[in-house]
Amino acid sequence: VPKWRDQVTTFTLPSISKASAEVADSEWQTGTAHKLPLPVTAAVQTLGIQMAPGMAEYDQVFDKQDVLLMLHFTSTTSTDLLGSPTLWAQDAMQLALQVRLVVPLHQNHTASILTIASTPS
Amino acid sequence: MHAVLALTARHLQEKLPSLSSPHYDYKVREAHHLQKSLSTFSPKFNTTIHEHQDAVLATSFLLFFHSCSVIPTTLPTCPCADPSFTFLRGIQSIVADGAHIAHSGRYSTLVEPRVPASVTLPRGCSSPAVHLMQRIYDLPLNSPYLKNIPIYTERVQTLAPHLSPLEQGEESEDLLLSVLRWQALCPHAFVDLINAHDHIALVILAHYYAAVKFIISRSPKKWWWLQKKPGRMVQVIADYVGPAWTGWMEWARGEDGVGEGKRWSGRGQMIVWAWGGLKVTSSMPPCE
Repeated sequence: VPKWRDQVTTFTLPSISKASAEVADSEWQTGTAHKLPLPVTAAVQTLGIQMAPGMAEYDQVFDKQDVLLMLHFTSTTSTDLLGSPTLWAQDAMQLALQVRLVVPLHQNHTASILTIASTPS
Repeated sequence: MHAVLALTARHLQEKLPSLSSPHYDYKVREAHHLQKSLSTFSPKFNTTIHEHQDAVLATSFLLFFHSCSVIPTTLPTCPCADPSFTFLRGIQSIVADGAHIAHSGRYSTLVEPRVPASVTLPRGCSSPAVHLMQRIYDLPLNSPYLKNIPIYTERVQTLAPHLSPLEQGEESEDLLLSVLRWQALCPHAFVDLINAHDHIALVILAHYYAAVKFIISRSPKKWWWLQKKPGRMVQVIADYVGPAWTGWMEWARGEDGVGEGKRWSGRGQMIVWAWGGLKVTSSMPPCE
C-alpha cells in the first residue's frame, strides 16, 4: 500500500477502501490508479446524497482521485468553513450534483484567479 | 463540484503537505478544478442566477474560501490585490440582485445583514478609528488626499465597531461574518482608490485585515483557509506604503498591542462616533 494512503484517515467509506485495496502498488507508482473506475454516483449514494436524473455522466467527468477529494470534503474540509458543516457537507454537495452551474464572476476576476492558480506557492 | 474539489485539494496541501507525490500532486489537481470551475463562467449566467441562487452562492463562498487560502509567495503586480476581496463583493452583488431569494435560501445565515458589534467606550476616548480619523483631518491643506476625505470617513466609521474590543461570550463566527461584510460592502469609490494604490485607503484596508486577524487569533485552530492571509496583507500593505506611513500603520501592524491583550478595557457603554471636529460627540458617556 502506498505510504500516503496510510496517512489518510478520512477516506473511510467501505467501497472506497475496498477499491483502493484492489489497486496494485505498481499502478499507484505509475500514476494509473486514478483512472480506475470508482463511480461518483456510487460514492455519493453511500453518503446519502441524492443525485438528479441524468447526472450519471459525472462518472466520466470525475475520476477516483476526485472521489477521494469529495469524501475528504464531506468528512473534514466542510467542518471548518463558515456556517453549519451540514451547509457544506450536505447542501453544497447536493447542489453540486444537481445543478449545472455557471460561476458568477466577472471575467476580469476570472483572469485574476487564474493568475493566482498558476502562481507557484 | 469543481469548486468543492479545488478547495479540498488546497486543504490537503495545507494540512497534509507530505501527502502529495509526483502522481498525486494536489497542487495540479487544485489548479485543474479551479480552472474548470472558473471557465464555466457564461453569459447565460445572468438569466439563471435567480433559479440557481443557492448553488451560485455556495460556489461563490467556496471560491472565496479558496482565494483566502492562497498566499502568493511573490508580490503580484498590484501589491495590494486580493482576489478574495472581489469574490466577497461578488457575493454581495448577488444578494443585492435577489435579496428576497438569498435571505430565504439555504445560505441565508451567511448573507443576512448583521448588526455590527456595539462600540464600547475606551478609557481615554482613544481608539484606532479615532486615531486614524485624527491623522486624516491633520493632513496639510495642500494634501492631494483631502478630496477623498468623505470616502475615508465613511469607511472608517463603518469599520470602527470592528476595531472595538471583543466582549466575553461574543461568537467568533458572528464577528468574522460581520467584519467580512464590511469588505463586501466597500463602495466603488473606495475600491477605485484601492486599485489606484491610494495610501490612506490602503491604510484603512490594513486596519480591516488587522481586525480580521485579531478575531481569528482567538480561534487559531479554526478557519485554516483564513489564518495566513490577514497578517500577510497587513505586511504587504505596510511594505508598499513604506516607512513614511509607519505611524499610520502602527495599530494595524500590532505595534500598538493589537491581539496582545493591550486593547481597550471596554465596559459595555454604547457610544456614537462623530468625526466632525475629530471629537467623539457628547451623546456618549463621559470619558473616565
